[in-house]
Amino acid sequence: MLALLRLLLAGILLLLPGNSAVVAQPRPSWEGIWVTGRQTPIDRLDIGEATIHIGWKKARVACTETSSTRNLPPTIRSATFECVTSDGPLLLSVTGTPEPLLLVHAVVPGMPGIQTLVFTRPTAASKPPPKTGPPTALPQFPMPPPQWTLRNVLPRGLVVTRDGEPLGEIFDRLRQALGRAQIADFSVYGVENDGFAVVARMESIADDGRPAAERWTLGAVRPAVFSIGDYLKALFTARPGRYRVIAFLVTARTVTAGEPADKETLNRLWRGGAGDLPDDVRHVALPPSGRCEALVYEFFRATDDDAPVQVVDSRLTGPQHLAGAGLWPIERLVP
Amino acid sequence: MSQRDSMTVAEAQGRLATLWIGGAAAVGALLLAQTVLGKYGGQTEKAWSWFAPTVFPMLTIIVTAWFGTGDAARQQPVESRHFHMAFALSLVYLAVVAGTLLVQPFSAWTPMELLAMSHAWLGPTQGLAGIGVGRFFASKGAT
Repeated sequence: MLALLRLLLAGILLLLPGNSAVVAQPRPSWEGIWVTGRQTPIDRLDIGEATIHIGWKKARVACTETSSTRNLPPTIRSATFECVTSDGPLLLSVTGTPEPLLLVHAVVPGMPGIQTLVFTRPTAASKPPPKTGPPTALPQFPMPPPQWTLRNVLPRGLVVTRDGEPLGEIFDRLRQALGRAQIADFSVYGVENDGFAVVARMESIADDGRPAAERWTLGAVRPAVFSIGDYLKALFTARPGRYRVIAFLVTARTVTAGEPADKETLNRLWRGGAGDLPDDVRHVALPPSGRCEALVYEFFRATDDDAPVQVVDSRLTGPQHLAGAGLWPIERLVP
Repeated sequence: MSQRDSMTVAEAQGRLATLWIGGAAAVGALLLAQTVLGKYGGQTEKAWSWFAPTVFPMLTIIVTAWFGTGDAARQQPVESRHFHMAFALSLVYLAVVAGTLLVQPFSAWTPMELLAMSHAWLGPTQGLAGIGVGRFFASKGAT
């Protein structure tokens, strides 16, 4: 059977028209790495000056030449090889063309007939598909996320514009909104392998959701303007504090609430992530039904000495919080 | 030089008691107003726990001596320098107690942080006031 297939391969070579010399050894112009975009056990060819290796099921297998030279046109060269893989012998007929590609006919162990493959030089377009596991460089956002005060699924077009959009473009749009709101401190997390989360720094806010005068100071603040009225007010009444953390989740997955949030957990979150979205995640496409959810965590303390507790029923709506932070105008958040 | 003026023990004790009762009442009223207006929120009990040992020990001693002194002794003259020292040190101490509450709005510390920290300066001041009051009562004719 093997002999028959060899004859068949030899026949294919003979059928190729031409009248010039054919390589006995892989020629210099073939040297280097070649890859194929197809899902096949042979995923690459590594051709040296006098050697050829194939990538066989993630192993590197050496091959030996079996063919003799043929008369072919000057621009076409061909050679056949035998590679001994872990699954048995593999026969390879490699044909070079004027184009930067190699035409490969292979008799692959465990596969019927002759496999026809096209190998090209590795380029950005022929990079292997993104890893299926979670990106290792990006810390993962806790799922389910801590229980939020308010959730707002942002309208289509604001952050996510279409299905299959690269995460990098979505992230850039989100970062632009954060810049508009003058939120420079945030952390980036991965959400599984096809989404991401951005957690903004905890800010001090007024009752209407707009940033407080001392936006990034969370402790007791001495009023800058100190009149007699201010003094008496400060002497006899408490200075309550209201705080907010906004987290954005870009994902196609279902987001449900986890444990109640506390100030320390959220402070850890905005400090614990990455500063940017890594390149390998930027190229990942957002799956269908992907969206951006804004999770608002609101905290309140009655006095300087009380610990902030999470607000369960906020007096504001999600869009009011997001508009108050300066991320988007309220009319864009409420379609 | 041992000087005695026309002030009797009863008058001196009365002035000291008035000072302490008035001072304690003023600070207590301030604290009460702050409590009613929600200044201390959930920490009200801690605020009053700070106030009680700050004022009451000395106040109790002075008021007890005032009422407990016999009639004959009450008419004795007192050494004015002992009385004046006791009065001045008591006044300073009560002013420091009230000042601790009154300066809090200017402070970067929270009210509870400031009250907890105030033991650092209230302790020595209270000690000095105690020495002054004790010296007055120990002087001849004061009790």
